[in-house]
Amino acid sequence: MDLDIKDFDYEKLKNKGTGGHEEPDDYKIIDYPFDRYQIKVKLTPTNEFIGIIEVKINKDFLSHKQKITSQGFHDVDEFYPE
Amino acid sequence: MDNALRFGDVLRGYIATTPNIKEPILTQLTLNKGYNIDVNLPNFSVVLTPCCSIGHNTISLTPLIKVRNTFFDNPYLVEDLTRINREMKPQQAIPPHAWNKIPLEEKQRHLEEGYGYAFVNLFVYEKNDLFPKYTIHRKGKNIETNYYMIDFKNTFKLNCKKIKTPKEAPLESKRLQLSKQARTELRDKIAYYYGRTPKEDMILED
Repeated sequence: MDLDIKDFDYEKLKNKGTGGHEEPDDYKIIDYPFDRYQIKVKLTPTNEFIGIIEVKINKDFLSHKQKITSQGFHDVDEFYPE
Repeated sequence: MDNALRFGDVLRGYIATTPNIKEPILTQLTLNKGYNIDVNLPNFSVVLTPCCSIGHNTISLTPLIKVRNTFFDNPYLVEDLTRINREMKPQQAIPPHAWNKIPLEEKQRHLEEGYGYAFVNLFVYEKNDLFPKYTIHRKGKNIETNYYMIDFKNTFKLNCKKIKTPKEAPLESKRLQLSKQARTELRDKIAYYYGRTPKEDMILED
């Protein structure tokens, strides 16, 4: 029986790339904010890096720099209920 | 006391008005729905026109009002309510019983603010024999005080033909004047109140 073209190792190599491709049964995906981007990272349960799943623009209108900038006053009304 | 009306002065004898509408009057129909204007005579009002701008028959004032009873939940403020006029640490701005319950992550966020104003729209006037005492009821306690405060949100404009310049003004209406230091604190806090950049505008600066 002729092999299907996709069964050739060369085709697998071309599509999948090098390196091990074992997929752990357990993994977690975390959102990692990095400057203007939001990166979805795949980790093992013990926080070992598996790979990057997605990189997208952070649509929150505040940039990372703006978020860490102090707002300059203490918003404390919630701590003084009537 | 200077023989002139100054920013932060406590005055008597000026009426305060507050117009009230249900919605903006953009059509005859909404005009017909009516409006009303509250008029009252506060015991004391505070000058919020900068000194060099007082005159031309007009002045900006805000009524002197009683302090919030919730201030007395915070021992740091109870020691001296005028601390509200100055920047403070976050753990000073939040009552201890509330501070101890804040989760660590949120506490860290507050600490990162460092020194800052609390109650950005308020300024407290030091106790003075001129100010009538009143009783605060708080958590089963009765606390007598004569601290008063102003709220920048209550500012209104008043026309008075006798107010021509800071010195050519009805000085008989002037009751108290802030110290130079207190006046500076008021100027700094109100400037900060109006000078905050909203988050929506910050994005354009990045």
